[in-house]
Amino acid sequence: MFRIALRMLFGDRTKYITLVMSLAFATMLMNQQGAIFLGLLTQATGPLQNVGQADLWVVDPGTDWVAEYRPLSDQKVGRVRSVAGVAWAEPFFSNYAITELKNGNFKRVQILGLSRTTLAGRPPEMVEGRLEDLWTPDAIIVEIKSKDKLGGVNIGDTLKINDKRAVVVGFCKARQGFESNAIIYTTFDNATRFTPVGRKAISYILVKVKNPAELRDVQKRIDALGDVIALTTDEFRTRTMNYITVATGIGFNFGITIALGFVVGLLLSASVFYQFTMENLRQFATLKALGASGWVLAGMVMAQALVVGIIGYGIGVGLAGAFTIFTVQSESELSAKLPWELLVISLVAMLLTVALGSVLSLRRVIGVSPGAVFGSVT
Amino acid sequence: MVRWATIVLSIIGVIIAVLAVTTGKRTLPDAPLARPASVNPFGRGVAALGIVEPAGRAIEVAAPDPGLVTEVFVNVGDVVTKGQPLMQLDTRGIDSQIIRAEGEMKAREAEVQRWHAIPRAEDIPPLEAAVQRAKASLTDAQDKLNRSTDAVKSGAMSARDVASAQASVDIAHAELASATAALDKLKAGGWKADLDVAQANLDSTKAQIAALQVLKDRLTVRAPRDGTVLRREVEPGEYVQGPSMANAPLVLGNLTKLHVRAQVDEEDFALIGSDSKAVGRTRGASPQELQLSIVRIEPFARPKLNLSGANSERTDTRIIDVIMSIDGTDGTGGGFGIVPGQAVDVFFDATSKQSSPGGSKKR
Repeated sequence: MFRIALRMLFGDRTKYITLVMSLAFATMLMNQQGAIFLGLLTQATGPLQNVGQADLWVVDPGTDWVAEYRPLSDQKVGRVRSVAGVAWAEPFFSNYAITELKNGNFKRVQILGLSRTTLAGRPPEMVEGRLEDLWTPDAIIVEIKSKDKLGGVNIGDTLKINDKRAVVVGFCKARQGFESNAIIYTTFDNATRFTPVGRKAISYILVKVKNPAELRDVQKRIDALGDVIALTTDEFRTRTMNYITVATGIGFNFGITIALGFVVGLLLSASVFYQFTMENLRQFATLKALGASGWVLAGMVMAQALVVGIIGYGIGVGLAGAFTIFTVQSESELSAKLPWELLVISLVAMLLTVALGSVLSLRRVIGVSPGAVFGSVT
Repeated sequence: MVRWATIVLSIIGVIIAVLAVTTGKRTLPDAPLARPASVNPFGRGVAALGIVEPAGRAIEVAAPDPGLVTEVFVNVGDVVTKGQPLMQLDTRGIDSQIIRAEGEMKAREAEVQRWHAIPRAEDIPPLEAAVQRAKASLTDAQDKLNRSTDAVKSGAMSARDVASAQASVDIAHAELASATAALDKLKAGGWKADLDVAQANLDSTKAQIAALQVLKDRLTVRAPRDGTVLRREVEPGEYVQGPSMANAPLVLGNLTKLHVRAQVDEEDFALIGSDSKAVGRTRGASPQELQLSIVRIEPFARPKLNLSGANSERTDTRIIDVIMSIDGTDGTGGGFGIVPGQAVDVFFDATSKQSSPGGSKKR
């Protein structure tokens, strides 16, 4: 019976291709848009993408997302260091400044300041130059994709950041933030010189715990200090993503597109599938005349739907995956992220689509009279 | 064949998707810290920022007045004793006042001399001559009188002539007295009161010069106590501001013993006591572990001075200074390569004190 169903499905080449393509397109739309959305959300986490050493980020309790922080006083570093179970706590600085380019233009740069001694929060990967050169006076390390934004600077070139001298000593690779500003790394004291800071200068305090198993306890102890909370990188990321999704139009916009993908896929597949079933109604009637029950016929329809759905899904995720790989490899401004969760969710959505699409036809198939094999399709 | 094509495409698609999932997943490398961070060595410790200082602090020697520096007598590293001149400010302004005062003093001295020099020798002979003349006139008048008296007896002259001669004698007496008095006055010299005034004027000018000398001496900046010159921020020809100058021209300190001054947050202060163990750690390329023992806890909380080198001095929470000596050395930090002014991360052992985490609830 199953083989008959498949033969029936593959027999009508045009309908089959239309079905597969529409489902593939819907899947691709859902996955690709979802991937871009998640990529954007990931970008929104800014420095969280690049700091690998810290277990905890100590911030003001009111922090909604990573780019909006209330500066902490440097005495807080001492207090966090005093907490039992903390291996080290280092200040981390993030702020924006205007830099003057050689051609007279200007560019807004994001300045990330690292603790002078340990360089905790260092860029994940150096491309050119040495990280240790950050210890030389006025030194900055430029994120490689920002090189052209800063007028194609090279090692040894000087920039003017808020009228202060900055010397490029190297290039690093780091994930960009939302705003795709130029990113530079420097030491904390340089960073506070480059940007006007208020009474308090520290953006976040990076914390490493002595024993990873104690992470939760240390977190609680830091929270108990008052005025600050400690978030793991994942918690901070989730917090940031939730905020972006809710507080900006991005979540809503992408939600609409993803829903459209779902609805288009649903409508298209349902109508094509319905037509397909209608045209094959005569075959179903024959089968019924041969003694197949309505449920067997329904099973056949479901099997057809399932097969076409899975094949369409495979092509669709393939396209979306290729797009994601291309985006990641080309390291363009647009970022995409395809987690396995998205694949599962879209698979479920796809199965739901074909299931709903086939429900319409099912009624006709189950209720087909064996006589229909002779008569006109009504 | 279409079905096989689609099935193959679908399988390839799923493979690509799985690949995309794996490429998108990037675990950040746990890059090591460039230099080891200061790790709290105690189960529960209080962290604080410390600064190495000479025992008894570093003295920022100030200039008494703003002025031009003409000479600096000491170099960084010189050992100086109390009272030793450190630098010389421009004295020309005061020198000119002294020269003027000295000129004035000479005038006053001459005046006193003048009073002492009276009578002038040349003034005496005329007056003496006048006395002689008066004496001669008197003799002459006396003679005339005698002769007139005799003439009256002989009846050659009248009594009126005698009276007239008598008057001439009287006048001659008076003139002699006057001439003698004038000579005596001259010989007596200056009036004492005038001399006193002149002397007093001289003394006042001398006092003025002495006062100016004191002011001049003040322009030589001297060591307030024994120590070593830690910093020299001044060269001859530079202008120094007065006592309010942000950077002192010279910094003195006693290097025979070094202390670490740590600033403990008032909120964590309850966790340490005067017998708490403390460990310090220098920063930089080769950090040193220092065993510290608390010398004293300064019983006065003050607003925190930012020591992390930011662009302006800021006050924040209040801190309590804890002064510690460095154990295991001769006290000078020798061999450890520690210099005054260096930042040290200090950890106090707080395991003995039972308190809520961080101590913030127990103040």
